[in-house]
Amino acid sequence: MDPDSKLIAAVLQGDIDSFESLIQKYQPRLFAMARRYARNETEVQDLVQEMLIKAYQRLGSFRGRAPFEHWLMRLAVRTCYDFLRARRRNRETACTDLSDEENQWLDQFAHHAAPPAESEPGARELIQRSLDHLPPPARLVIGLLEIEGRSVKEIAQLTGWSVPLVKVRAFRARRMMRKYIERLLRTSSL
Amino acid sequence: MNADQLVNALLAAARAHPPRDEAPDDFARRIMARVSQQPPPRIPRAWSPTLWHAAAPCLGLMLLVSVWSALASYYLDPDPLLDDHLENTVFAALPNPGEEW
Repeated sequence: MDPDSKLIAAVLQGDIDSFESLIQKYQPRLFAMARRYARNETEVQDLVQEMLIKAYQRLGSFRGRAPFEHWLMRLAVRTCYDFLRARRRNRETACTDLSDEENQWLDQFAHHAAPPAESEPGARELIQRSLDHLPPPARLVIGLLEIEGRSVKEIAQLTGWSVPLVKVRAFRARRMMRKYIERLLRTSSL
Repeated sequence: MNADQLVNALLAAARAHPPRDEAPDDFARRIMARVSQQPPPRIPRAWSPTLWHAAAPCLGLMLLVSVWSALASYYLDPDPLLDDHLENTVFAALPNPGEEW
């Protein structure tokens, strides 16, 4: 029996304190995932809290056939997806003009032979703006496939979508992102 | 400007800056405080022993019905018109094929 399974068995037998060891072990991964989708630290902490409370409530459904980490990550991805959908329902998408840093980065990208550094704040603000604009399935699939570099099969397992659906959503997501970028370029008159 | 190139550059920027993974110091304790207020996790497998207990009576009932059915067909005279009755019942809703031709 691996250490995680022992801890889970202890929690299920009533030793709630064993759950703290699971939290300590996996919270860095959950925080990294939540920070990809939430916009500020309050949202991040709320999201991770929701993941962990759900994990505790559903611990009895963990069968032990796959590692606990896979089970937890699946639950975390689905919680992030629900979070994105809730935010979309509440129409909390920020629509502001491009900042000076974003304009400067775009200008450098358009008019200079050497591409600007990816580390510049303008690039980070632009990618955040583009991702925030995408609908939840597109946002999730771009995050998992293009940014985290996960395989299509892995995404299918994490999200519960079929492999063809992941491919279709990835294709549409990239197209949506390109259209949004084209519109941004038109409005920023570059 | 090529939008595809720009999208690729932005995605590369996102890949180059993975998010931080630190948690606040007292976060685990805060979660544990919440968890202690929750009901204990349910074990969905708890219902399976009950189903296994029900398996034996179900099997017994099935055997009784099988024996009763076999004995009934052995001792009772089968209705010679049963096939005709069944056919009439099944085809009752259909128009008479003779009338169609």
